[in-house]
Amino acid sequence: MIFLFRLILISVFSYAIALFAPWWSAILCAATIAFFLPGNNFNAFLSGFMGVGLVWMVMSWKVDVETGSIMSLKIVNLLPVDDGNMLIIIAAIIGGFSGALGAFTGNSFRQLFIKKKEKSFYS
Amino acid sequence: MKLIRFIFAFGLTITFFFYFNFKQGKIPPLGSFLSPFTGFWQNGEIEDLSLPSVLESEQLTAPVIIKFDEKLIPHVFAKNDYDLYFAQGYVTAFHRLWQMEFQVLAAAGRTAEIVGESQLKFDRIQRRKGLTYGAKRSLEVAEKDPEVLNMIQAYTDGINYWIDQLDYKDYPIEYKLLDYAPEQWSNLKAMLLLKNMADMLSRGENDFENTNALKIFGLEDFNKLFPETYAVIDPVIPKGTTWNFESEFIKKPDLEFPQIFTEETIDKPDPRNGSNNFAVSGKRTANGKVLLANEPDLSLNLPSIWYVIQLNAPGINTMGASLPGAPNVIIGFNDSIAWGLTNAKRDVVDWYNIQFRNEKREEYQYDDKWLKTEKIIETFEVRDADNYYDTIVYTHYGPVAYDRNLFGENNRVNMAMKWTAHEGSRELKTLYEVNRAQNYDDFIDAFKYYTGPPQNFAFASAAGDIAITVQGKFPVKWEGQGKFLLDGRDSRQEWQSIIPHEHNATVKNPERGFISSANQHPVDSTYPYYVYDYKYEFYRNRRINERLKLLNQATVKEMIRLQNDNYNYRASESLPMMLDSLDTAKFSPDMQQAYHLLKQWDYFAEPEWIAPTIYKVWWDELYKLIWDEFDNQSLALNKPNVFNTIYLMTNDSTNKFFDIRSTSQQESIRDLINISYKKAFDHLEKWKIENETDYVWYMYKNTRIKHLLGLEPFSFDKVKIGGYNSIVNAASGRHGPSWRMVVELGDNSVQAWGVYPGSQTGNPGNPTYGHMIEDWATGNYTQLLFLQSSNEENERLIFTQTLQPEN
Repeated sequence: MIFLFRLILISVFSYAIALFAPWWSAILCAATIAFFLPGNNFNAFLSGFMGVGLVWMVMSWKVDVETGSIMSLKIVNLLPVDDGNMLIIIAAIIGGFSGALGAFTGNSFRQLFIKKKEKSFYS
Repeated sequence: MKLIRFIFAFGLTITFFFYFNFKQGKIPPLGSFLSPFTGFWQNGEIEDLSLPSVLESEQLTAPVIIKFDEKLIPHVFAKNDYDLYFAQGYVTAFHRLWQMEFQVLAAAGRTAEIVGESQLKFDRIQRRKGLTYGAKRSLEVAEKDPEVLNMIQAYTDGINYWIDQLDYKDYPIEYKLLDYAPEQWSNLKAMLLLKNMADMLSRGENDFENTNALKIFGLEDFNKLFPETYAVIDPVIPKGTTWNFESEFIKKPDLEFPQIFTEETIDKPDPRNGSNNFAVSGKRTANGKVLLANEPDLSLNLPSIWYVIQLNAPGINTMGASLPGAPNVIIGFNDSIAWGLTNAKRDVVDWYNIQFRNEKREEYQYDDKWLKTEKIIETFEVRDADNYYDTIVYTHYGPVAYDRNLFGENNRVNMAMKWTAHEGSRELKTLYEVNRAQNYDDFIDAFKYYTGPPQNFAFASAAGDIAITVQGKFPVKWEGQGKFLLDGRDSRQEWQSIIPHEHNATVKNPERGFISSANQHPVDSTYPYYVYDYKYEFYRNRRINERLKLLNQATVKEMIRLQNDNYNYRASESLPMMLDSLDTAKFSPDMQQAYHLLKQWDYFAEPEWIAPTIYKVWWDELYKLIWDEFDNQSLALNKPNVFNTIYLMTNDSTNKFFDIRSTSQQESIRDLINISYKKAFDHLEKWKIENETDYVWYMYKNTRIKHLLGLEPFSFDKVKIGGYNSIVNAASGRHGPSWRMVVELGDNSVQAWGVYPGSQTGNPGNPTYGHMIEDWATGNYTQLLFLQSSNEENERLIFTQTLQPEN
């Protein structure tokens, strides 16, 4: 549950901040949210990856459709990429990793302060 | 354990950030470049034009209205000069910011800052040519003229107003690809842009090559290979025009030119940079109105070299092509007159051999004195590398461009460049006045400020006058001065004076009822000054004049047809002789067929024909064979021009140059024609197999409109257009008519048509990018919407923007 909640928060905030901040704001955003909603590291990583990755994928796809792929068809000839969909996927992966690594870092930072409960003798 | 995990995560994130936030080799920073919020996606546009309908600026004094028509041409209506040029700067930057800045960076020799070390040599040459040196002097002159200063400052403010609104996501795609940001515009940049034009148009010379050729071939052969003029030329100012002034005659002093021979020279501007303009008086038109046509032939680039605009304010209502980066309309019309430009070729660059007193290069010899040099250390910022420093030594002639640090041939050669463009120039003042001129007197008066680049200005007025005037700053030269390298130690070899502006060749309302120019000789031999250039045009001018002589009921349609005329005059003067010399007996069926195609050909280089291709390839092979004497020469040389080659073939067919030097037998021109025909055939067959298509003309010559960075997806190739160099429709591979305009002027009416190979927008992500190319190729001109006031309604207007002063 917290996984899904964290994922949605990362999506919403990384989207809102990206409207006026540079691309790496996604890293900070995911790190902050993961810090306040910690979980296990793999969970945090995955929620960051999907949270930002999905936003980047949907947004690139949206712009691409709206503009009739006018730019992506040209850019694929300048980068070592085969077609426009690949660009969307690569954008999603880069976005995904900024979220994932941000969340992983935020989460592992938080864990420095969480003390494991001492095992009770009776439990 | 937890700490190690955190450090690992943190380190990984930092590495990831650095890798994707910075350029990796040629790959732009992928984080920002691929982000859907800031990256290249944001350069895609849904609409042809998206601008807010109102913008505010505290710099404006009154509201400015900008109306866009369906070709995205802005029509600017302002209440005063400042607001007008502010809006011109703003709207040009909106469409063309990257191009404006990049051209200026190139002119200033600063491209290595953006691209890196590979551009360093280019930058060094740019600075050694002294473009910034000249631009600074132009700015000093401009700052003394309040009217001009107000105009440039307004233009600069307008550009910066646009730049200040931009974030990374709004940057033109080229900034994102090369990973840099626009910097503030300045008044100096407008001057640099104009010096860049001067570089393109007036820097052509052949002094080194002529000196080398004279040494190799001797005087008699030199004159045969490179004659200055012929009896048959058809000059800009018609033969027989009388001159109502006398010149001071300068006798050639008795002296020797420096014997300095060079292997490598600074790249010359494209010798094809030329143009056609012509005007027909009302006596020779169908409806009695005056017609003017112009097209400047330049490198075919995207974003286009021209930006079409209408400028309206009290005292001015003008429209036409402007240069992104400089205020005013350059080629256009207003309510009363129309004007067009072609390059007036004339040697305005000379090279002086400098004798330094010693290694320190602080003094150089001038007659029996030692004059002081001035040294400027140029700093070059180089991307991803240390700064580079280059010392440029200045003499009173100009910069010592060839010295021990570059092109100096191991310190044997020190050559100073003397060029009229090094001086402060006032072309903006001339344009300011021409844009507002009401009649011939206003127009001609504007040239008292004009020093260059030298142009043939064609003029037509609603009042019925036509004229053409060759304007620029031309030194008075003794015969042969500046044709070869000159000796900087000898004051007699200096330019003695300047031809007075009123002695510049001009003709108004000539007898024949039309005027024209196409980069040919300006005048015949009766003109009382020495006129020299190494590369005058011989074909377009004669074709235009012959056509105009026949048109005594000229119409706009005929003007457009003449601009798009594909008649290959060169072929008409060389092909019959070439065909006659062919020995057809041993021809294969294919060669036989080609022979018949050429025999039937009417010399029109139409896009889908094959004959123009066969002729071109054949000619090129023949030309190579004829001038084999120029192959494998270590010294820099230019081959004789085509006109002279054909002249020698016709009039001097036993010339020794027709022998191929590498063979033991003696060849004649007839042999060369036969050998080259076979070679041409091999070449064509090979081309056909490699390209898997027939060699139709437009496919073979491949006219392409190329993005300034050479990026293939932002360029257009194989444009289906006829013509070639030396043809009126001068569309060759990378070069051709960069703006075509025809204007009709009569009582109370001015109508104009125009088209250019590109689009108003410079953004490859705009739906209209390059949309006029097809119309340009087929000669389908748009009637230009020339509005009389901002209230005028027209269905072709698609958007209105108001720039408001801030309260």
